[in-house]
Amino acid sequence: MKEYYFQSIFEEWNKVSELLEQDLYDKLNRKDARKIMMALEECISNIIMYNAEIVEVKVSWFIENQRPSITITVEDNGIEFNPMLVGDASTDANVIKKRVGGMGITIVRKLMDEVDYLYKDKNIFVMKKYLEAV
Amino acid sequence: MNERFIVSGNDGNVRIKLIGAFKTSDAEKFGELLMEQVKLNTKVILDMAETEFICSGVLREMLACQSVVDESDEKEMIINSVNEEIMEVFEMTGFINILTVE
Repeated sequence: MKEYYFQSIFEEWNKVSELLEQDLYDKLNRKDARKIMMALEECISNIIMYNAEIVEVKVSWFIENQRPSITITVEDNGIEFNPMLVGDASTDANVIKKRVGGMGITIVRKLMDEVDYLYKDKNIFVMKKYLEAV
Repeated sequence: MNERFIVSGNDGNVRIKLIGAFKTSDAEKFGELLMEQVKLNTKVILDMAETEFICSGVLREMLACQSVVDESDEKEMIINSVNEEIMEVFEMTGFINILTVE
C-alpha cells in the first residue's frame, strides 16, 4: 500500500498529485492511470473547495493481483459529506447550460467501477477500478 | 501555465495547444485565456493531442466560452485530437452534445 498525506490546499495537492501520477503511470497502463487521476482530481478539489478550513487529507492505494484492480481511499477530517447522496448531473444540453453542479461526482462514478463512502470521525471515500492487466 | 497553453495563428483563426494535465487549480486561468481568444477571434481550435486529462472545472470554463460562441453567428470553437479518456468524459457528462468535438 502507498500513502500520501497533505493539507487541503491546491499547492500541496498539486505536488502530491505529480508523485501519485508518476507512481500510477509506472504501475498501470496509461488509460487506467488517466481515469484514476481524473477521478482523484474531482475528489480532492471537492475537499479543498467545500471546507472553509484547511483539513488533513490522506490518499492511499493498493493493487490486487488476483482479479487485477486498484483500490484508492481518500480520507479527510473536514465537514461530513456523503457524495453518494449526490445524484448524477444531467447530461441534457439545456440543463447543463443552466446548472453544472454535481458533475465532479458523476465523473468519479462513471470513471471508476465501484465507489463507497463511510463516515468514521472522518470522511472515507473508497474507489475501485478493475484493470485490464497489472 | 503559459508553456502548457500555446497559441498560434492569426487573422482571427487561432489554434490553442493544451499540454499536460489541466487541474482544478488551472481552471480559472485556462478560462480567462480561452475566453480572451474566443472574443478576439472567429475560429478557435483547441488542440488536445497532448492533453493528459482535464477536470470538471475546465469543462465549466469550456462551457462558458461555448456560450459566447453560440451567441455569435460568426464564431466557432472546435476541440480536436482528444484522447479516449477525455472523450469518455465529454460523453458521460453530455458535453459532447454542446461542444464541437472532432
